[in-house]
Amino acid sequence: MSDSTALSRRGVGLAVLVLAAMALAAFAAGLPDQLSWAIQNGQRSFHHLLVSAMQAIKAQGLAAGGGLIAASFAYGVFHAAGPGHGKLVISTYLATNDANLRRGIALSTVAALVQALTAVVAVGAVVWLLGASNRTAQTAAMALEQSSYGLVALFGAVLSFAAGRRLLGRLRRHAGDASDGHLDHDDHHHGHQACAHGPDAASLAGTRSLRQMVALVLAVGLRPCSGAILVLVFAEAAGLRLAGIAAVFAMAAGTAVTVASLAALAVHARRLALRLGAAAPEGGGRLGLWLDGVALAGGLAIMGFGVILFQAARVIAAHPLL
Amino acid sequence: MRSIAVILVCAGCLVAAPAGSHPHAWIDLESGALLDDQGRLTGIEIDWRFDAFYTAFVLDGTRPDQARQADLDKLAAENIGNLKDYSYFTEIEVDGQRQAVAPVDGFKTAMRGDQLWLHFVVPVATPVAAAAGHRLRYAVYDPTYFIEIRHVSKQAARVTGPGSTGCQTRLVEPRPPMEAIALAAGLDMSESGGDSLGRLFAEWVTVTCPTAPP
Repeated sequence: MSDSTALSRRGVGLAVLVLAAMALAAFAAGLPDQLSWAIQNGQRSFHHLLVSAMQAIKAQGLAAGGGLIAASFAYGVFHAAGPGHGKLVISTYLATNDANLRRGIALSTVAALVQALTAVVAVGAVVWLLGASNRTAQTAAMALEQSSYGLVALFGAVLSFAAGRRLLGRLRRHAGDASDGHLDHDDHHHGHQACAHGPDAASLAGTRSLRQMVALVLAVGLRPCSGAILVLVFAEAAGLRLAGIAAVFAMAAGTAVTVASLAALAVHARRLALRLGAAAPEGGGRLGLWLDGVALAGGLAIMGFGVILFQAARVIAAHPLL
Repeated sequence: MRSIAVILVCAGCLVAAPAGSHPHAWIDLESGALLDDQGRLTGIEIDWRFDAFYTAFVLDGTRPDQARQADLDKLAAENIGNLKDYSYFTEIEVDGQRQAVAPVDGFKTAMRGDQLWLHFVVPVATPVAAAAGHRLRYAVYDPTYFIEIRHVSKQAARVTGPGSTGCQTRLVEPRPPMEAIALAAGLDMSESGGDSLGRLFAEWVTVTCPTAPP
């Protein structure tokens, strides 16, 4: 392949990426008023749906439970039942770090389940076991939420540090054997050169990313979703504790579908970018550098999300009716 | 493969908008402008039904059908007291002038099924001519938009009292700007979009009265 073909291919690839980003931004900014207003109004309908599903169980018994599960699942899918920051953090992590599709989906699913579990444990411990008020449960939930944001910031910091160190090491090596043709030895499995210590590096990276994912799940999942807490409180008042717990897990399943879709998008977008990058004339050599740079940027972004959310959560405005 | 990608993108877009977003509670509203025999506005009558989740939350473990009246009264008194600094979530304009409100004196509260019901009247500080030849409009909203307050139907906004003969109300739906919707959509339970967000989502009631009979 001649250099000019490679260059033009890279140009087309870049153009596609830029166009896609612009389309997304335009969609986010210019979503027709009517449609977004309809989405906003949809929230009210979902709440009504959940309430009537719960009332149906109270009236007709567990035979009506299917309605509640379906409504909760839908609520989870569309309202994404809480993990607003979860989606953001998980997709940023997946877009800027090496992960395959299966891991991305597993990560989203486990994070959603852990969030549901946190909500059940928080309400269970505070209200059911200690007999404290709902307001206390709310306060506890907010404390958990803030801890979660703090851990997300910490997670971002650790990611940035690791990526920064890899980047420095690479730069040093580059400087060291710049005359050598083979610039990059421990490129991930996308690299062209099958190096001697390739497999070792790959499995090392695999272990590293697994550890990171567990940390990510804990950091994100520590924040109970507010929708789940409301449902548990309402179910308790209706004398339907078990139905409430079932509803919360149905919600988590719905949330998982949503977040996993975004995770899949992130993984695919990264792959596409890698393929385009590999087709570039200087291809493999600089790729590792770029990857570490992207990972560093991702880590910094995640740290930024965490810090901003942590700050925002500290200023809790008192509401006259709560 | 391509179709899967399209589905994923669509799912992603659907989800991008609402994520634990404001509002987090809802109130079903009925309201009425009170006109005295001289056609002066004396106050706004407000009838709230809180959504079942909010109700369960504030009842704190008590089942809706077992709530004691004394507890409901205590809660209502507390809420009314807290709302004083917020003009009782009420904004009244006569001929373009914002009207000051006086403290609410008394309320009624009860359970209506799974929903908490609260009724009170927000008096204007000084009764003001608002019937024939005047432009009267009012809105009932939570300035932070944590709670969304909407009339249950177009007929739920009324004008009553001896001076209200022939008067009509019109409910003006909110037309929130895109940026406000996006901001609200991004706000989680513990976040605030400031005290000017709710106004953008407020329903306004305009009252028009026939000119004096010949």
